[in-house]
Amino acid sequence: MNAFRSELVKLGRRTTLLAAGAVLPFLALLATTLVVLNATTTPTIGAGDGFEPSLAMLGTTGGLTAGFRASTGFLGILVFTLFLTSFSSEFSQGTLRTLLVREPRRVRLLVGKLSAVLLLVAASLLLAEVLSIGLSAVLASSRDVPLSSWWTADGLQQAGGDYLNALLASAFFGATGAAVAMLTRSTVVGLAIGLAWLMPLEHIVQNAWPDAEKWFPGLLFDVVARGGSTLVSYQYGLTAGVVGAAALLVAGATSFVRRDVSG
Amino acid sequence: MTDLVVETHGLTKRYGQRTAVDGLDLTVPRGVVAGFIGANGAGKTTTLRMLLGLVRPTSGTATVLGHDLSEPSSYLPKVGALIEAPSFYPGLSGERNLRVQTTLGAIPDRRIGEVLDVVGLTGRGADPYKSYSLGMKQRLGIASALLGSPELLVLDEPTNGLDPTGIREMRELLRQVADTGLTVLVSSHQLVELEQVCDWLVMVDSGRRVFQGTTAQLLAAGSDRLVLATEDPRDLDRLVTVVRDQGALAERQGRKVHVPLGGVEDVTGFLAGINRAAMGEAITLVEIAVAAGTLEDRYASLVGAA
Repeated sequence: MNAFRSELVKLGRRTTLLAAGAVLPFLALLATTLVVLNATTTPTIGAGDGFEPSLAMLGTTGGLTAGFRASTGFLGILVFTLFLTSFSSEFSQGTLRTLLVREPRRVRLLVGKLSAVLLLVAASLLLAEVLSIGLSAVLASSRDVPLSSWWTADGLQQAGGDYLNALLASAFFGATGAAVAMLTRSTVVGLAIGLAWLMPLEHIVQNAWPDAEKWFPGLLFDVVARGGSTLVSYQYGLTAGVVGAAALLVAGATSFVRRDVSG
Repeated sequence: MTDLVVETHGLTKRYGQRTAVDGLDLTVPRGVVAGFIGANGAGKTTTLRMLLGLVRPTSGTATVLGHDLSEPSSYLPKVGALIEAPSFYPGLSGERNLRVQTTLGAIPDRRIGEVLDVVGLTGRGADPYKSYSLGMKQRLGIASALLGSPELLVLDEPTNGLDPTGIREMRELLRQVADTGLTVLVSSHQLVELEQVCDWLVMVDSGRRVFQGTTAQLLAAGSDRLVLATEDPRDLDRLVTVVRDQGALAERQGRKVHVPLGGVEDVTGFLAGINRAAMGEAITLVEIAVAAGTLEDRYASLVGAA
């Protein structure tokens, strides 16, 4: 608990809150604007979701958070980077040794730090969704989208589910970022490996081999954020995501607990 | 409670083929300011890191404040440490950096103001750490180490990188802290600094201990030297030969000849003998002085002998 509160003292700085906490809401607002303004009157193939939904789809319960869901495509890279830099900077700045002298139980330190950063992401996601819903209501009204099904129990349940999926995917990406940081102990190396893997590599392989979505961590976590895909069920994505993120985290945590702190 | 705050037996750390600390036996009694002396790479920092639970020993045993090294959580709350350069979050203020520490260690927040006062940073706590001078950063590092009201303070090269003023301030701060009665273990390769503040010394070379004891014991162990000067500087080399013929070591250093007095019991007789021998060779001495040995001299002789 002390490790968690201590991390919050660090994260509570105004500039950190703005930098880390405002990016997701900003992207959600941007995505919401594009989604609602791009919505077409004539449904096309594949226009059920994403950045070009139909106006009819926007009028359903899922329309409430269509913009928010579209923004989760950026979630992985942002959360991965946030967790990675949060951990790797402790190594590069030498602050880890100060923390470990104060709290030598490394697992406690790790859990506290992970929880605090995840709390920041959770709050940021919540703000993103609330703002996205507000903007959606304003923009949808201007496009004569009926909002009656949005403010129903089903609509709000859908919104809750979308938030939970985004949060789960964030936890998976976060665990991956933290694990890479603990294994490489370097921001530059960690970012190079992580971003190269999550951005071009997985997607290039996916283009040639669609089943990659079932096996590659970044693609799997994205499936969870989207609530499932045409190829991978939500249940499969969630199970595989939990297993994959846990495995990465255990590898990183083992390194964190066992390796000497020489830097 | 033991009288030894730190005790190690055969403490060893190897990195692959390289042995950083080699079977080190050291003790630090309670209440002393202990200097941990050695050249860069002698194994000081690695030893301190092992004592602080940051690095696992390859072999050997140690206790800190009576607790085994394998249980750092049982003794680290009573230890304050500054290892190498002070490490803080550059974007946070000095105060907020300390609050990260107090929160993590469940230390009352009132200690922040108290330790800032001790290190002379009152009024600067709200400034960003990145705006601090090197001396202020070092002082904040000491403040951080003092937060938990420690029984043992471990400082690794606290004067590294400081200018002469900063070094003097750090020495005064160290003396001030030591006066409160806590045990201090301070490592340095700047022997002059340690000589002035330490009452217990541990010297290491290539990971091995070469001396351990009080500063007085070390300096009393015959490190004084005789300094000779001749009227005619051209006679200096001949004087070296004359002294060596008397069975003593001699070395020319500039316009003087230095003769170690280690092992000489009758210094007066020794001086008279050299004076007579010089006169016999028609060398006129214009200076015959006994210079007190310094920590640096003693360290050099011990490391040279090791």
